[in-house]
Amino acid sequence: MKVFAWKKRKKRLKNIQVSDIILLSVTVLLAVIILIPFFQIVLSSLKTNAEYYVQPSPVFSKDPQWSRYTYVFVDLSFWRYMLNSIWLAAVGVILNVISSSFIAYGFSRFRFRGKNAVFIVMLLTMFLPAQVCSIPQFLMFNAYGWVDTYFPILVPQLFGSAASILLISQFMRGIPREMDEAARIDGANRFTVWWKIILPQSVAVLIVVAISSFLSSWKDSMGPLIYLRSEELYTIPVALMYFQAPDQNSKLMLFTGIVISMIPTLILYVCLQKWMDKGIYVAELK
Amino acid sequence: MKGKKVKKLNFAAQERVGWLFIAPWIVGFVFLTAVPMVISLYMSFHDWDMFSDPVFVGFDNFANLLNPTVFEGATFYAALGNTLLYTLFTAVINLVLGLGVAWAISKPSHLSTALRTIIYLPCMLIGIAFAMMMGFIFDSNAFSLINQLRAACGQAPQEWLFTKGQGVWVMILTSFWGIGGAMIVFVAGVKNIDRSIYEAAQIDGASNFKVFIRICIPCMKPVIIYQVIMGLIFGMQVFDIAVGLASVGGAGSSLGMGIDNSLATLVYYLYNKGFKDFQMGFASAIGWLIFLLTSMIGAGLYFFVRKTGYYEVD
Repeated sequence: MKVFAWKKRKKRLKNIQVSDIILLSVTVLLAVIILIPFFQIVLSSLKTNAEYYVQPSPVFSKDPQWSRYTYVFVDLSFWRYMLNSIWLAAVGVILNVISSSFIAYGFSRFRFRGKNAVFIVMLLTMFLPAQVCSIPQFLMFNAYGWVDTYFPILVPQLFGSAASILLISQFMRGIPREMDEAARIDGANRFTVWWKIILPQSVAVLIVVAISSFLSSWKDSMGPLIYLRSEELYTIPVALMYFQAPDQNSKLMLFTGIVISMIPTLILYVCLQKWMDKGIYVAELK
Repeated sequence: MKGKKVKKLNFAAQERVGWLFIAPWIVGFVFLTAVPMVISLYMSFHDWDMFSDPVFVGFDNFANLLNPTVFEGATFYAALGNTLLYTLFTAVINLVLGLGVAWAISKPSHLSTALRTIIYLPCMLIGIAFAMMMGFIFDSNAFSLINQLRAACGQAPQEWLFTKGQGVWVMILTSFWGIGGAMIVFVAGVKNIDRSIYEAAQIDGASNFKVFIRICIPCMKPVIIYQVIMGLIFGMQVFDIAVGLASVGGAGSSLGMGIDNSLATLVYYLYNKGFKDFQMGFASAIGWLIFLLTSMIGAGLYFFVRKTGYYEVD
């Protein structure tokens, strides 16, 4: 029995080729290189001024400045920027998911002339550089008096986004039509069918779309940089761009701010690992 | 009664209700994309600072942009050059390293999961935060990581980001930290390949490298082509990295796009002209040039792919 197991293991080892080992070692090396800036910034954010501005600078601080984290988070209002970012992304996601699924229901469940043409136009807009429209959009939102509010960032989400609609409508095509018809015979109207029958069945794809659109709102910097002017409304990217600290070690404070900005998505990633993988995949696909 | 309800599900009724459901997208498309594009085109023939009335200037904006001897044109060509270099190199880096890494970690194991998480880590960050993190490594003073390393080798500190023709290479270098995005897509592609094909090849004694070249790449052609096209189109819109890097150096950031446009990109130029200088007509002209360039690249790739028959385009 034991000999048999050993033989099996040997066979498995034989399957691993030298090229495999080389490839994996190179990948490990790449991963280490990728981690270097992260270590650099975390370690630098803990250094005292004297330790950072010296050559050669020590790798580890002898007197880690943990208080800098509370200072940046509390006194420099990073808690507020973080809440703003999260709130903005969360509301945007809810609007986007509801409207996209509504539109996707229209694309996946109805046969009418012109639908395919509209669908193709929608797919083409995915390739359109959004910046072409940014100037007229700014003028339009400015005319409404929406500059320095969240409306210019949230309102566009009300109309769905092409990538989300595409993904949700593909999923909805897989839901059997008999479900709709049964509900219709029982007297439900189209809207009720969408809300009560189709949405609950699509939860899986909705979560994936929600995560991917949360990540893209969270990372978005151009919209907030254009529209947000007053400090109470700043999101994290804007706060980092216009970062100001009162004393002379402001650079190290900024390091701390950058490290703080990384924490929410990392927490999200750890908590929602299983869903995140799919959400990230969708986010990267578009 | 029942029969009547069933009868109501006829074709004409479906048609009208269907438009109602897709109406939100159409409204959004008209008011946030189509009309703005027309207005943008209209404004690109005008000079407008948002305070006085727009002045019709004909093709002046475009002429200035495309004339390398005037200041605006020189900036535009610098931005165009940087953007094209960045787009091209990023696409290559993403393709080669993303695919290689995806292949390396495609066999499920704890090590693979850990590697995938680490390599994807930089892509989870806010673009500007990531760019600033990288920017401080290339900071011009003697205390940044790269200049500390140079000092250790006995070399003088160097100005990395704000030297003409050099800042863009830092941008390209940072795109190495962004291979996680392409990797995620390629990992899914590798996992979609039927395992029995690999096993057949292995039984026939094919080496891993051969399996990669002869099986993995041909099977993933659609994914690879899609990824390259998207990479080229979105590469043309690079903004976050340039802004983040430019904000690092004290003197450089007040100048806008680095010194001598070392960090200029097309979208960054549009942003500065439109939302810093409020030259709305001029910025619209830049926007339309970006749109035309991207469309040309997209259409060119589409026809190239279709002609060579690498990819069934439906």
